[in-house]
Amino acid sequence: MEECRITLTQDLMAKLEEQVPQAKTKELTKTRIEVEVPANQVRRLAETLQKTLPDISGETVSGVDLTADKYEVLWVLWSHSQKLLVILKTRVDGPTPTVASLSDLWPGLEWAERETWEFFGVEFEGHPNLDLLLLSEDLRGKYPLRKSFVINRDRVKEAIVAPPRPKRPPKEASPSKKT
Amino acid sequence: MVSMEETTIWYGPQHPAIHGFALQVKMVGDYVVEVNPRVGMFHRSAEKVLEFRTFQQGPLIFERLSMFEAMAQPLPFVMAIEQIADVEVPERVQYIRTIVAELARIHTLIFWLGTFGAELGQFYTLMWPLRDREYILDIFEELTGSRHTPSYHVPGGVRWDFSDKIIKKIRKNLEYIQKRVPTYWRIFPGSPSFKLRTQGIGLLSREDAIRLGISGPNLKGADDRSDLRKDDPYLVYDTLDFEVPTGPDGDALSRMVARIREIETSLDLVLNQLLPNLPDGDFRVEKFPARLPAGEAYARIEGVRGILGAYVRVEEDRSQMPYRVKIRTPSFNHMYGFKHIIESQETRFADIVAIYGSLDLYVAEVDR
Repeated sequence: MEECRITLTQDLMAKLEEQVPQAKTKELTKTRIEVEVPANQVRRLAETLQKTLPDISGETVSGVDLTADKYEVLWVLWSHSQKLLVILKTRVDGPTPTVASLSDLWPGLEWAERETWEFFGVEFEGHPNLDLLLLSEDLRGKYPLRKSFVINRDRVKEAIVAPPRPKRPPKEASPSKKT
Repeated sequence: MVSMEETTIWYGPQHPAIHGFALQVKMVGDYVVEVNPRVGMFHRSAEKVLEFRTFQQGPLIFERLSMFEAMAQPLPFVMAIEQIADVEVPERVQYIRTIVAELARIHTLIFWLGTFGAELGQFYTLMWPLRDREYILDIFEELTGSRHTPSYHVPGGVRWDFSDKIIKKIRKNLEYIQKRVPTYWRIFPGSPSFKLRTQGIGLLSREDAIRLGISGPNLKGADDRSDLRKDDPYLVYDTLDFEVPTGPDGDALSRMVARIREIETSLDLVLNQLLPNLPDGDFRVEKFPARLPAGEAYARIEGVRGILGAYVRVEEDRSQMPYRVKIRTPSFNHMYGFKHIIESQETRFADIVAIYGSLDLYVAEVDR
């Protein structure tokens, strides 16, 4: 059983790389793989994935703001029968970053993509209904999860948190004071 | 002649059975043709808040997403932080975490049984489960000092150790609940008036459920054996022996059957497999790093309602706060599935609340 699982993961990774040559696959653990593709190949990769694993279901979609108008979008997909989690990653950029929608392949992702749009401003091409879901009308187009959306900094002070700081350099021998 | 015009009405947000969201219902006669759930009234922007709270404060935000599941909800976040920090927790911690997560499952499901009965207009069923649930909350109160927001999970362990007194109390209270389970079978699926409202209502096939990303007892109610405790074991579930509880047909009644079986399974796991094998040792790692290295992790557990996940990313070395946290909650997908279930079959207005109740939607978890 264990043996055939390993071949399945390897086969899948080989097949994805064969169909979409720009895809970079990485095995994270025995039950997880990560696939990184350029934004224009997402659709092709997703279609290959669905053909290979028909029972794979969409778990969630997330965005990450990498600042300077660069974003990462990731889809998390889970196959019950093969016990395999696939994390599909891509990078998009520009003031209106655009990527193909996968919500027709996995309808369960329709709301998750809509949420990513309203919080990050990532346009999903081919999405049936990109409209506000959780936010109120006054936050339309403000994209609150972007790092440029400034929150009330008082709350940060309240949390008593210092910003990340680099590691201290090793202590240099101070010029010794001669007394 | 009855006019066949389409009517639009609002169901919620102030309707007592709809806890904080609204449904725009389009009907012909009393047959529903379209529903549009409007969510977002509980949106508290938890994901943004987590970006300016330290990772030690993070679990407290998580347990406020779903009040009932407070003992289980922070687990994915805590596990993801431990993965990033590359810290292995002691075996006793894993056992304690598994036990409290199962206790959370039992009391959430018991409470759900009561509210589901009340939503269907049978108020006599509300108070019995509510009273039984108190026995679990008593355990939480004695363990942490708080019934609902216990702040129990911390990165690297748990806040308080199990004493002998607590273990005795868990055993005594769960044995009481075990005696009550036959009553649940009798007053819920065994009652003809319940069957009338739930049998054949809100059918959801296994294929549709997988397509819509539905998980947990709603998927198991469609006779599917997917359960993260078996499929992708975390904590100590790989050492436990249990059958995945399922329901037969995928209707509202089957989902209820799956949930009552789930209570039985969890009781059996805690009483017969977890408590007797609880190892000695530390209840926390000695020193958890105060600052995190750069990295990312996606951890998930089988929550009460389905797959609970947390994606955590730390961008800079030695930072105290995560750069980005994505919270995956099952109710978010179930709310989308709710629309599909109603529209895919002949549903009458009175069935909406039966379908809503049987899916165990928790709106605060949808909105985050």
